[in-house]
Amino acid sequence: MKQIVTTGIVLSRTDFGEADRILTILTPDQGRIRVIAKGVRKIKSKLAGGIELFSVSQITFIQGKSEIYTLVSTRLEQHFGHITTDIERTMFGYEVLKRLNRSVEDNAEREYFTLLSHTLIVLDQLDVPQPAIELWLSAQLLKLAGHSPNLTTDNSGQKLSQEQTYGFDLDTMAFVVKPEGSYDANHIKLIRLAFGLESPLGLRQVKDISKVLPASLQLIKLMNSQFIHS
Amino acid sequence: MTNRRQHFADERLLQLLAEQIKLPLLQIARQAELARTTENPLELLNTIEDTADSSLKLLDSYLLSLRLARAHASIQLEPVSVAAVLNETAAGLSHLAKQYDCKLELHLSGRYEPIMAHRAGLEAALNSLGYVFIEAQSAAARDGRAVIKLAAHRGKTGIVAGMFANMDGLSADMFKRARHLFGQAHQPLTQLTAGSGAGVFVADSLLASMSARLRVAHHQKLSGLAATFATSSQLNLI
Amino acid sequence: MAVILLLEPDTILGRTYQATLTKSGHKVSWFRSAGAAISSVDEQLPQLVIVELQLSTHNGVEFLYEFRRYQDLAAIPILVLTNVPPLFKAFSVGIWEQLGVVAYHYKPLTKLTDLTRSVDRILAPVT
Repeated sequence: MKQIVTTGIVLSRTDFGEADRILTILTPDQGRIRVIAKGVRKIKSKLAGGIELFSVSQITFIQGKSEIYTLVSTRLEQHFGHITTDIERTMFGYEVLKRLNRSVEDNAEREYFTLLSHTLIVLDQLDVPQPAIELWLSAQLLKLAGHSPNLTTDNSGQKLSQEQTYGFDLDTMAFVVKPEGSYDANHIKLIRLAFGLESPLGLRQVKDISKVLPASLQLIKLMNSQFIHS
Repeated sequence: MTNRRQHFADERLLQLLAEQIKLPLLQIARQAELARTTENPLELLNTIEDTADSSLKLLDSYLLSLRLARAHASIQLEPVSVAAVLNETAAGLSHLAKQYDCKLELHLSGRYEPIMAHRAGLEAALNSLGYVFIEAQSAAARDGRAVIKLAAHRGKTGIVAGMFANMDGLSADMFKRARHLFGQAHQPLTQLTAGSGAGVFVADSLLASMSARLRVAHHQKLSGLAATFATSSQLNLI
Repeated sequence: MAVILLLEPDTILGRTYQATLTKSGHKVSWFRSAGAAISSVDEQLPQLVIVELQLSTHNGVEFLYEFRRYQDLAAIPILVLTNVPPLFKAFSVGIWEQLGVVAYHYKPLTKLTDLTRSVDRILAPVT
């Protein structure tokens, strides 16, 4: 039986039997795996001990014949403890883990792990607005799934203009010229950043982001609900 | 600090204070409501009185911090007996501590020469800290009562005086972040207290005006918040 | 008479809410921390959970997600009684339903009579 050492972020925990726990973990090299942690629930407090959520840990497990591997040991590498000092961020953090768990396949590429760790790192910093992080995450999930919108030309092939206002066509995934449309050059700029940035930290620099963030986020969420099963 | 930063800091402290004062007002309102349907409401009325008194003290401490901040350059420090101040603080907090099932202990090993401080400011700072510590320890206490120690000990550069308790999670790094995120989102201090922790920042402001810096310190295996004070070069108080 | 689990970090408020609900005929188990509250359900299953979101150490949202992980607790209704203003609730409408929150009360605007009325409504047998 092979013993494997890797890094992982716990996506979910489920109790099993009297004292065991099954963890679903996202790793950079093994994709999404399920491991059984034996005997961890003998600890009286269910919220203490075990493997922390909102953490990156080094995990060692044995890969057996079954789909659920056996956890041998863990070592906490980075704990994003500031997330839980903010209630809204805590809720968002849990929803991010749930969302990733639903969005990825078992053989998820490394990029999903990178995406999740960048999200948690910035969520932990408390000074990037949480909706901005959500915008970036949603854009990146679309990108990874191969569903990026057209951010260069409108649906008739014309270059997107500074002066125009637009609506958005979900079928063609492109902006449509529309007088008094919901989206202008600032919205498009922000959405381009959401798709282009490697980390949501860059959104911290965006001036007056609060003016364009709600509509931009709503649009990206709409795209997600259309194309990503989560 | 520039004018704009000072204004921002003032606004933030006011916001935190408003959040903090909501709690005792809520306690008073709900207890008054309960008292109406209670046959012998004396205990409830006592709690209401204690709650109102401690909130008034916190507001007063905040107002003093504003006055001292404005007068910073001209504040006269005087020799103050640290034992006397800690004693008086403990006496002043005793009613609130009792309401919260908290035990206050004094730890003063030996005699200390007087420290240079603004007496009223120091009392107000310790009182404000006490408010936060009592609330935090009461919420975190597992079995038995919460214990808070008002203590002083000799440090390398002076007398360290402050408040200590069994506070898991209180660290220099956490306090640094709390100062940096002062008033923003939810403080890292919420690891310790469910309240806004305004008392910590009121104490911080009061102590800063007498050039003493509030920091995370340790006393006999307990962690807490304290400041270091220079000792008086005058003769000891008899 | 119902068994109510009350998660309230403030001693004075906790005492007040416990006394009020006990007067209404319920058995109230009051805890100040999320960890203690979760552990207690091994001893006794509540019919209703009342939770403050602003706790020290683990916050109320963590408690809710943890609570909902257990199959045997899935049907227990949750009443949020909190200092966190309803603006926050608006941000995550669908999620509250998923977490089984049946009522959200903002403490400064919730009298004891409002609380007992809400509790009675939640615990009323379905006819």
